[in-house]
Amino acid sequence: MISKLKSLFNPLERPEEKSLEDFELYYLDSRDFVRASIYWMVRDQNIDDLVQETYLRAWNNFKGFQDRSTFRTWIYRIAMNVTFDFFNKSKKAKSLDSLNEPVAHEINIELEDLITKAVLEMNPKQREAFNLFYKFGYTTEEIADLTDSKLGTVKSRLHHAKEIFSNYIKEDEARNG
Amino acid sequence: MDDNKIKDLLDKDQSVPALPRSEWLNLASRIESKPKIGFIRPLAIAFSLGIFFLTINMQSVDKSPRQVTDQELYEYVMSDDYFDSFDESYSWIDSN
Repeated sequence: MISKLKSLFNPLERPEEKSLEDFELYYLDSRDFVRASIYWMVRDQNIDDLVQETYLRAWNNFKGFQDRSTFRTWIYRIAMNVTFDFFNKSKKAKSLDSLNEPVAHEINIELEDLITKAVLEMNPKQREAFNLFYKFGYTTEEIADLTDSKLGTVKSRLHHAKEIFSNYIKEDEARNG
Repeated sequence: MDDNKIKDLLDKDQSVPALPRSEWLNLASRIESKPKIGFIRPLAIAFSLGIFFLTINMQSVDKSPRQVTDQELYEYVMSDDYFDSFDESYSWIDSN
C-alpha cells in the first residue's frame, strides 16, 4: 500500500504506462478474431455491443497485462466471459427469435440459417469447443488451454457437439429431400 | 458426417457482420470519457480516513471546560484538608 502510494506521487517509480495508442495496435491485430468468435457463439448480427464491452474490459485491465505474446488468448477469454454473461442475462443461447426467415432463392442465407440453427442446438460450452475446432482450426490441446478445461472435457464437448450438428443437418436433408 | 465435411460446410458461411467503420473511434471515446478512478481512489480513501480520525479526536476533547469561580478556588485553598495534608515526617516543620 505504501509503495503504491509512493509510486502514485513519484513519476519515476510509476510502472510502465501503457497508452491508448498501444492498445489500438492490439485492437487492430485482434478485432477480426474477437468479432468472429463472438458472432459464432451468438449467431446474431447485433454483436457490436459485445465487442465494445470486450475491449472496454480489456482496457480496464490492460495496465496490468504483461505478456504481450498471449494477448490473443487473453482477449479471447474476456470475449467469452462477456458472451457468457450475455447468455446468462438474456437466455439468448436458446432463443431463435431474432433470426431472420431464410430467403428461399438465396442459397447462402439458407445455409447460414441452417448452420445457425444447428449450432444453437448445442449448449454454449459445446458450441465454443465446436467453433474453435471446426471453424477456427484449433487443436483439442489448444482448446483445452484456451478455455482452461481438461482435455477429456474438451473431447467430450466436441463429440456431443458434432453429434448434435450432424443429426441436425441429416434431419434437415431428410425433411427437404 | 466427417470432420472435413463439417469444416467445409462452416467455411462456406461468411456471415460474420462487417466491422463498423467507426468502431475504434467509438471505443476510444468511451475509454477517454471514463473517469480515472484508479488515481482518485487512494487519495479519496486517505482523505476520508484523515477526516474520520480528526472527528474522533475532536469528540474526545472536552469542548466546554468548566470555569472555576473565585469562591470555589478560595474554599479549596482554605479547606482543612489542604492544611492537614502536610507530611509530619519532616522534622524541621513545626506542627505547633
